[in-house]
Amino acid sequence: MSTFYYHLAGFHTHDQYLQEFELSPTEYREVLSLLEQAIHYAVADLILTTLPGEQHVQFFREFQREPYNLDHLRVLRQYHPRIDERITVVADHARQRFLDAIQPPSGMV
Amino acid sequence: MNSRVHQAAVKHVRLIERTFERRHREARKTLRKHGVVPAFKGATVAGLSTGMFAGPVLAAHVTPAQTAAVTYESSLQQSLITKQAQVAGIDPDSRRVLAVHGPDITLASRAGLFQRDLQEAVPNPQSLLDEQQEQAVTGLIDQHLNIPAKAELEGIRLNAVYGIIAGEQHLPLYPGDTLANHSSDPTKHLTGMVPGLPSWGYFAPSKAQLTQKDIERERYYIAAQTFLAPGWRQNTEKMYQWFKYRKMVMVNPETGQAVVVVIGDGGPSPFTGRTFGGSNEVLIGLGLGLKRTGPVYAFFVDDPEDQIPLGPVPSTQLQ
Repeated sequence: MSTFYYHLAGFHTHDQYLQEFELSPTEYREVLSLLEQAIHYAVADLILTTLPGEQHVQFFREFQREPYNLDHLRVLRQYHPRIDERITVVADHARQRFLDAIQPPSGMV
Repeated sequence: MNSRVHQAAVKHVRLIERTFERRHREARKTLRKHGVVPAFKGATVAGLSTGMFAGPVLAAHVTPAQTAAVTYESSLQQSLITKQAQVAGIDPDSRRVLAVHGPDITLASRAGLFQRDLQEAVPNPQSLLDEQQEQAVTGLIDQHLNIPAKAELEGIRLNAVYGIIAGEQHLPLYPGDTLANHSSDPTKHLTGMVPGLPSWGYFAPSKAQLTQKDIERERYYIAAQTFLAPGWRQNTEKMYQWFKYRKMVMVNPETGQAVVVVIGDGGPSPFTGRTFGGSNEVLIGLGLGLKRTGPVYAFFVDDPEDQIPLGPVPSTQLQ
């Protein structure tokens, strides 16, 4: 149903950000999905740079098997004790960059 | 779909995708070599190829079992999903969206967050929680659902706040009530009607005196083991009256779905191994419409003014 970092990455806030844009229901779900994808990339980047290379295969194998399992966070904490905060920070950053990218150019109403 | 916003979003994520793949070329090779690169391609957003990590992440929203569950939804569950998907602005015929995101993409994250918090608060719940766990779970219900939940209210508690619920039959609303009176939809008759009277008798003395509130109570009723509640033997009459149509909130800890209900009957018998029973509508609201059984939390709702409506808690639906 969700990933182990769902609660850290602010996915539940996306509605409020996207509501300001005039989107059809189809566009809305596509843009929402793109926003989520942007955040997934940011978190995946963080994971790959946090974990030593030799841990990548094992980690992502386990992740594929049980993406929701909070044990993944425990593994990451061994390599970065404040990984929870880092996930939130990179997710916020990715979200803000995405929202900036889809904002109308200045001067355009 | 050519709006400026959508185009800008696609362009932005394409850029991220390219940057990511450049940065992690070696990791990508290694993972692919070990067969970790997912074969999942269905999550492709229109006009955008799915990257190697978007794959597993997006795929994580759905398991084969969930996909199968969507495929085999009963007519009841399917009609509920369709209705709720429409409310959420999702094309109900879009199998791709349902398969990738679950039936709800705009609300699933909220229910998912609630579910995650519950799991973190009490990883392995038992029928009775300790005080700290009770406070954690009721606090989360208050925080996420805005429902004041209590394990103990006015000095009374049930024998369990967590247990297995299973489907029950309809209850007769008044003398002479039949299944046809409950719904014109024959799929809602499948569960049948209990042969005798529920613990508190008919909801109304006659059809003429039946109110909408009675109908709602029967629709969203649960059976609870009131006869096993602490103090029952000493205060049977008082507690019998106290439990009658007592408002509760039931939460599926595996999905975060919740339904506000009333206690409409006593049971089930302890030998069944179950702690609660629920109407078909309750089970559907909890996401158990197909399985007909599963774990639930059950807490009293502190609502003396009767302000909280019965039924599925909107922010926790669908699926």
